[in-house]
Amino acid sequence: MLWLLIGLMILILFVLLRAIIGPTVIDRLLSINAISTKVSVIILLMAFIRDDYGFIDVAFVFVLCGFVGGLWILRVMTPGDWQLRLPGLGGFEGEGEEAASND
Amino acid sequence: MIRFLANLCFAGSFLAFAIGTLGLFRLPDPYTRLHAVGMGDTMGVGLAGLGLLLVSPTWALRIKLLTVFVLFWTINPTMTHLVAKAGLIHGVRPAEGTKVIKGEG
Repeated sequence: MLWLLIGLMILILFVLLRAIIGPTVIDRLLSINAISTKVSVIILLMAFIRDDYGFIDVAFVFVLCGFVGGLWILRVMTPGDWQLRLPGLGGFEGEGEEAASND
Repeated sequence: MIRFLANLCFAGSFLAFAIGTLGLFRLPDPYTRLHAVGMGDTMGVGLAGLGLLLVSPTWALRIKLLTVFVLFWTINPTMTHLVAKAGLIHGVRPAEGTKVIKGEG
């Protein structure tokens, strides 16, 4: 069980490397999300390694806090409403006939 | 026997996490990376949860663990979906040659 914990720590280093070199803001958000998931699994494993099962509640709260923090970052990143209108995608346009067939 | 099955689950969990992290470096596009990490993390958390359910001593702990993992499986795809949608609104381009499939809206 301890080797899974050490392996997850090494994987966290690689995900952090992607967060540092990531070209867009989506890569960094994605890396935050992946690191949060891996740290939650590490907390659960630590509860079972040390026979101290109160850490399960810590993992519960950690998951909820990570979710709320990610939602807050997304809300700051995209002001306005969350209606996804395909032709006006802020610089991204499709093949051309999709925009023409819009009614 | 139970310990062996649990270690098998942990090995599968580490494999799923490692494949997700490999996809984070090999894929060309933020949306495809999002797909790889979402799939790998959900599978890894599921297998690690199965292993922990096997080695947990009492039933109260198993019920608490199940609550945590149901929360994981609800939050992780929701977060992936919201990050992809925020990227589209923010204006992050997909890779070259991506086709947009138009929905009903």
